[in-house]
Parts: sequence; C-alpha cells; structure tokens
Amino acid sequence: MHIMHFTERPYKYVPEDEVIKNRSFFGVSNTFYDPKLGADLYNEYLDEACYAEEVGFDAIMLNEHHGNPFCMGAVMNVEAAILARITKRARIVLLGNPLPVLKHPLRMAEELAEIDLISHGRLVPGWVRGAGSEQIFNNANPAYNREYFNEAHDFIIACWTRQGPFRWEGKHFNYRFVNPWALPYQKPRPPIWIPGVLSPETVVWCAEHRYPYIGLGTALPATVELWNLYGDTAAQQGYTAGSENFGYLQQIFVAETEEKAQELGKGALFGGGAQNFSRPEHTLPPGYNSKEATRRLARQQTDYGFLGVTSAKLQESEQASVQDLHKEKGNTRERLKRGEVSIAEAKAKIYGNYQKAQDGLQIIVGTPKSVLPKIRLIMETLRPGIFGLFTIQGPVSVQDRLTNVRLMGQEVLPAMREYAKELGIKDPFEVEPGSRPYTAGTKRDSLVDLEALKRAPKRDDSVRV
Amino acid sequence: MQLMYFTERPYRDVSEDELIKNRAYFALSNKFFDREVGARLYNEYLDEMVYAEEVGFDAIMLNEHHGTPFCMGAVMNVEASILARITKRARIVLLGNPLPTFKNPLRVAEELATIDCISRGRLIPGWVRGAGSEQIFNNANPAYNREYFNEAHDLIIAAWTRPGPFRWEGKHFNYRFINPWVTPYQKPIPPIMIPGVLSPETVVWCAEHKYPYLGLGTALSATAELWNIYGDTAAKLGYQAGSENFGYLQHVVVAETEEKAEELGKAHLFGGGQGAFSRPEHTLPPGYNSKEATKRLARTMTAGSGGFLGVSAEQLGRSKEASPASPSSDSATLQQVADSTRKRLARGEATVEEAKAAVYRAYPKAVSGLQIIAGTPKSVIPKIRRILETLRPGTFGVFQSQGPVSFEDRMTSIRLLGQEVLPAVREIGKELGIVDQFERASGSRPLTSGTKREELVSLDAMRA
Repeated sequence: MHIMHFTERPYKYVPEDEVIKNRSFFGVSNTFYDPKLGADLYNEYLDEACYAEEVGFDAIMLNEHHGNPFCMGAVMNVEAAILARITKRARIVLLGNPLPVLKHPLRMAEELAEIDLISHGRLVPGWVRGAGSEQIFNNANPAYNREYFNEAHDFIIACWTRQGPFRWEGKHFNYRFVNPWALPYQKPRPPIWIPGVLSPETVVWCAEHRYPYIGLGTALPATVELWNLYGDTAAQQGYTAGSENFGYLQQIFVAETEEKAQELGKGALFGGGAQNFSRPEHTLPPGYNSKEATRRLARQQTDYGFLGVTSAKLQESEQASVQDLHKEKGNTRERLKRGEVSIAEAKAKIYGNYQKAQDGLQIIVGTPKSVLPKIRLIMETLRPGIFGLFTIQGPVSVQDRLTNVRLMGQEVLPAMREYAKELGIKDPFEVEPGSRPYTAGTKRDSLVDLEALKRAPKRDDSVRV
Repeated sequence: MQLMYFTERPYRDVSEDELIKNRAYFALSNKFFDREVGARLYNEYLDEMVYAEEVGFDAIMLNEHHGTPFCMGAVMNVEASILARITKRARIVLLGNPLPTFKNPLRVAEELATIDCISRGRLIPGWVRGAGSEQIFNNANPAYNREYFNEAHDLIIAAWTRPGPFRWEGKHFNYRFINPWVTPYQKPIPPIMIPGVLSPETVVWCAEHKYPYLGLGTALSATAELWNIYGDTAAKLGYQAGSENFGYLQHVVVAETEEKAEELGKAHLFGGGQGAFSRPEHTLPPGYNSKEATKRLARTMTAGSGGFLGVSAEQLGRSKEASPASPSSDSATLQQVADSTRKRLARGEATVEEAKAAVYRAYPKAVSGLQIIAGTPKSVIPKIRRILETLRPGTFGVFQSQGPVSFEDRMTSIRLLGQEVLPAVREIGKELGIVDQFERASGSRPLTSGTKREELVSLDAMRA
C-alpha cells in the first residue's frame, strides 16, 4: 500500500467574497495576491511535506494549476525540485504535468530528469491533459488537447530512452537534434502514474501503457465502472490488472476531537470548494472533451463534481446557450450573477451542503477513529494500491494542518496498512503493473467489490453551491 | 561590491578523449551520461553553493546550457528552486534564462515568481539569447532570436507588473488571459542583470533598460570598449552609468600551494575548455548574430585564447574558408586551416593525444592573458585587483574550475576564497569606490545633457 500526502497548496488568504463574486477561483484577479503571504505559504507547505515524510507517508503528491488561488503550484516542478533535495525517502509524485500546455516538451524531459537525479530516483512523473482553464491560461488549443498530450508523452519517453542524438518530426513538435545530457536516474525510465476524473479515453490509454490510474475523488459507482474498463482493456492486452494498477485520492481531514474536525473540515467548501474551481465555460472549452467523455461526465458526475464540472452545471451551460433564463431562476450562482441574491446567501448555500458532502463521502472529516471505517469502505470497494490523502483547503491554521498530518501518521496510516494486508492490496512497487500475464478465455481478476459498493452511501445529486 | 560564486556544474567524469574526438562538448552523445555520477554531482554542486554562502559570498550565480556535459544546468530553474529553500541569505543570480528558446514565456514568469517568493525576494533573474547551440537543441529559429528575446522579456515584465487579467497579442506570443496568481516577492520587479559576450546590441539594450551588464570573462580591452558604449547610451538617456551598472565573471581557482593551483587551473582546459564549448557551426547558426556583432567577435576574440563558447578569431576564419561561397584562394589561410589541430583531427591526420597536447599548450598563454587566474590567495589577489581597477565592476563573479578536479579541492578553493580573497576584494572595492546595484540603484543618478559622463574604465590599469 502506497500512501501519499496531498494538498493543493491553496492560497488560503484569498477573500472568500471575491471568489464567490467571481463565481469561481479561476479568474480572480492576481491583484488579490500578497507575495509576503505567498512566501509564507509556499514554505509552510514545504514544511508540511517534510513532516508528512517524517510521520510515515510513502509519497508526497503535487499537482499543478495555473492562474488560480485554489492551487499555488503553477509550476509544480519548482516544489518537486526542492522536495528532491530536502526529503530523504518519500517518493515525489507529480499528478500531473499538463503536457498539452507546455509547448516545449523537451524542456520538461530535461527538468524531470534533473529532479529524478537529485532525488536519487524518487520521482514518479505523471501526466495530465490539464483542466480546461489551463488551456485558456496557456493559450493551448483545446481541440488538439489529446493530440498534444499523446505526442508530448511519446516524445518525452523517447528523450529518456532513445540514445541521443536523434531527430523528432511529429505533427505538433519538431526537434532536429534531441540529445539531452542528463537522463533520469530510474531505468529504463521513472514509473509513471496518471490521475483522472473519469475520461474513458484516458483510462483505456493508461491500460494500454500499463500505467496506474488514480481516480481523483471520483464517485464510487462511476469509478468502479471505469476500473472495469481498465481491467477489460488490460485483458485484451494480455495482462491481468490488479490493485497495483489503481489509485484513489480522497479529501480527508482529522483532528483531536469531532467538534474541532467538523469546524475545520468546512474549509473544504471555502469559496465553493472544488466545485468552484472554474466556471463551466472555462472548464470545458470547445473541443476539450470528446463527445463520449462529455456524455459520461454529464451522466455520472455527482453534483459535488471535480474542478467545477457537475451534471447540473453542464445542463446550465446548455440552457444558457439557448438563453433559457427562466430555468435558471432557482440557481444560486446565476441569481448571484444577476444580483438577485447576496454573497452571504450564496455562502449560506455553500456551507449548507457540508453534511451532505460528508454523507456522500466527498469529504471525510473526523477523529482518526471515526474516519477509519469510511476509508476502509473505500479500500474494500475500489482496492486501490495507491491511496492519496487530500488535506483540507480553506483558512485552516498551520498548527491544525500539522496536527492532521501527525494524527494521520500516528493512527490512520498504520491502520490502513493493516487493512491493505488483510484485503491483499498491493501497490505498484510490490507488484509491477502489467507484470501478470492474462490467459485469453479465462475470467480476469475482480478489481472491485460490488458488495462493498452496495454498502457505500449514495452521493446526493442535489448538493449545490 | 557583490561577490558571486559560479560554477558551470560540469559533468566532470566525461571522457576527455570523446570530447576531443567530437571536437566540442555540445553534441556529445548522451550515451556517455552515467546516472550515479550525475546524481552525485548535482548534489555536490548544491553542497558547494551552500558552502559558498556560508564562507561569505553574496550571491550564487547559475547558468543554463542544453545538451552538453560542459554545464549540467539544462533547466537551471530546478537548481534555483532548491537554492531558494536551502540557502538563507545569498542572492540567486540566473545568468541567464535563454528567452528565445522558450515557447511559453508565461510559464517562466510563473516559475521565477514562485522561486522569488520561496526565497523571500532573493532572486536576480537574468536573460540571455542563448548560445547558438541552444537554438539548435531547442529548435528555435535563430533568425528570430532577438525578436523572441525582446518580446518574451516584455511579456514577462508585463506578467509581473500589470494587474491581471490582461491580453497579449504579440508577433511571436499570444495569450488571451494573462493572470498568473503568483507574482514576484520583489516589487515592482526583481532586479535584473544581463550577461553577455560582447554583442553591442545587447549592451545598448541593457543601457536602455538600466539593467547591469555582466561581461562573461571577455577580453579586457573589448570589454572596456563596450562599457563605454553603455556609458554613452546611458548619457543619451540622461543618466550616469557607474560601477553599479557592470559586472564581470572571472575564472579563479585557489589552492594551498601554487603547484596545486596550477593543476586545478589546467583543468579549465579539460577537453578543450570553453574554446570547445560547441563547434562554430553550432555556436553561430545563420541569422543568430547581427553582422556588426559577428565582425566585432572576429576582431576582438584573441587568438589562442579559445575565445568564449567555442568562437575565436581563428575559428571564424576557418568557418569562412569552409564555406563553399568563398572557394579557398588565400594560400596562407589555407595553410592555417591545414595546420589546425582540430581540422587535422577531423580528417584523422592528428591523434587524440596530439590534440590534447595542443589544448594544454595554451595554458601559459591563458594565464598570462588573465583568462585563467589560478594560485594561492596571495598570488591571485593582485591579478583580481588589476581587473577591478580596469573595469570597476560592481558585481564580480568567481568562476570555479572545470574539469576533473576533486570535490575536496573545489571546496578548499571556496574556503580559501572566503577566508582570504573575498575580504581583500571587498577592501579593494572600497578603496576604488566600486559600488554594486544594491548600494546604488542602476540608473539612479541623473546626468545633465552637455556634461561629461564619468570614466567607467581605467585604460592605464589595463596597460599595467
């Protein structure tokens, strides 16, 4: 079992009212950024990562978002570089570098090779397509998103594994003399993991490449469905998928008492939480998702959603496009835009969903004792070899954040490791993903536990900001 | 005075024979890279920099080169990130980020802002056009080099200073929604310094922007000439240039004894040294330099010194000969070409051993020409003094040894510099009235039109 510490490194001092007025984190003007506070935060998050290593986490996971107080890791490789030097044992897991927005993948290959070397082989690079807002921020054509992704990926792997110099003439990238001097420490290349929010194309692509797929807090029934898709693809490719091929990221926060945990846990909804990551028009720019992926999102995302996409909001966008404003009457977000509700009312709406978000396991909040059965249920259902603990957003003090890390290390991690042993869950370092052959015609291993899924609470689709 | 520690972070275990056979560091196949060596070296260099801060250097300078064992800082912002966290006081000076080879300058603006914040305002970003080989490595059109440079520079400054969101529609870069959340710690912008190897356009551009210009071990006479161009441009713009506008980088290696120092000094020539940075066809791809800059390079690069980044008068002459547009008719030049060890090596007429011997034969000349200063603290101080008297640079960078020198010897050099050389250099700086950009802001002294500007260099000192 590989357990990761994760935080979005939020700029927690952003005025909540500005986020609500803007109806999302993305797009809030950078005039609200104070570099002195930013300097403190970056260093506090690095302290937190070191402490997580100390208390027993196997890995520090980083992510990257641009132009957004939701996540200060605009170029997460900066933090990854620092962790390579100031941590000693933990893996540095990047989920992920947004390949389609880079414009210059050779530089990324060089950057990551250096980080892998400095860390003596502790890097796990991961790739993402980038949220829609990253395409807008970096002026990357969303219609070519997957083409950029695929070509940049293939090119970076070639940089790391083909002897230089060689030539690359692709559709989107051209280099006449590829010969980066420094190559990764890990041979033939560092292990690669891919995070996702339920795009079936990504899942199939991961299975084809034997890359573990990490579900980012996705709803359990939909996750189960896609992991079966991975398993079927793996079988077609001639290997048996298992827990070593999967990971899951869960928002979770613990404190010494239930009262304290409940009070601080509200930080997950600060400014509208992940649902307010960006407005739908930024999250799904035209061409970004395939038709199939868009349909699946609309069908399966619970209302809490991820990165600002929910079924209700997709509907909203559709409705807005036909100017059917009558149906928007009851929508707090739209009414806020029209000035019909106050910020205080919008906030009340957001925090009114706190209990429902917990009931649906979108957020797990409590003491170590009370959170463990919920974690166990997820582990039983999804059997992920990699488990990321996504710590709280919002205005929570450094002390409370570090207490959370300490309690995780003291009580939660040891229990999770016991569960994993009991459930036979293996991580990608215990069992090489794709290393177990599959005989055609036989039944593949079961990847999920549907009985456990039945015990899992249903997410409430009416949970709205 | 601002005193900087600098090393190219060479991959010192590279086979010298392979470098000589390749006739350059650039373009040597990465099959010679060993991960254990690379991992050790990156970390040792970071140890060195932390130690340099400890012994009293004011700044750590980094640079960036791609696809070469000469410099492992292919993405120096990786090292800059780490230094931001593991050093406490020293400035982190990037000389420089190669703007024309970036395809997404907004990403660099974000990267550097993050580093400046983590270091709590200790970053000095600098920009370069990138050596010719960087254009080849990164597939950046050399003909647009200066346009890319100028536009990326303007865009990054805008990203740091204009409240977001705003739109940028340039000739080479387009962004519809610029609003990086993280902006630099230092306001209005971090101090910027520009290094160069004598391109007059760059010097004028620096003077126009009031950015200090740092000569990268360039010949003293040519450097003095260009600093006067800076001073004249400054005067036209209405300000008085002074030591705060200039910096100089010098190879200096110090040891306990002269014998040891000579051994370390010779390592500068390992594999052909800077003269073998890249072959001329990689260093000066078509369109990279203006005509004026190319002429100046050919004129001022001293013969036998190896020049900088693989460009020397001899090599430029040779490139011309090699060009089919100018069929070889000058028999004297032809003879020179034939005699060139490098060419003969390429044709298999000279052995690697002969080529190596030719490389190290240049050592006494490099020492007498001050390209290399190697010695005990006592013997190097007068030489540094001569440079300070001649050029009066507010920032002085000490360029550590290249080549197969042990980690211990490198650390000893740093220790001796800290104990004996830096205090002496500071005294000399005080005595000569040399101030850096933090003691007196670059461009802060108005100059009334019609009055004579201050002398920036001392030609008497140079002739001494």
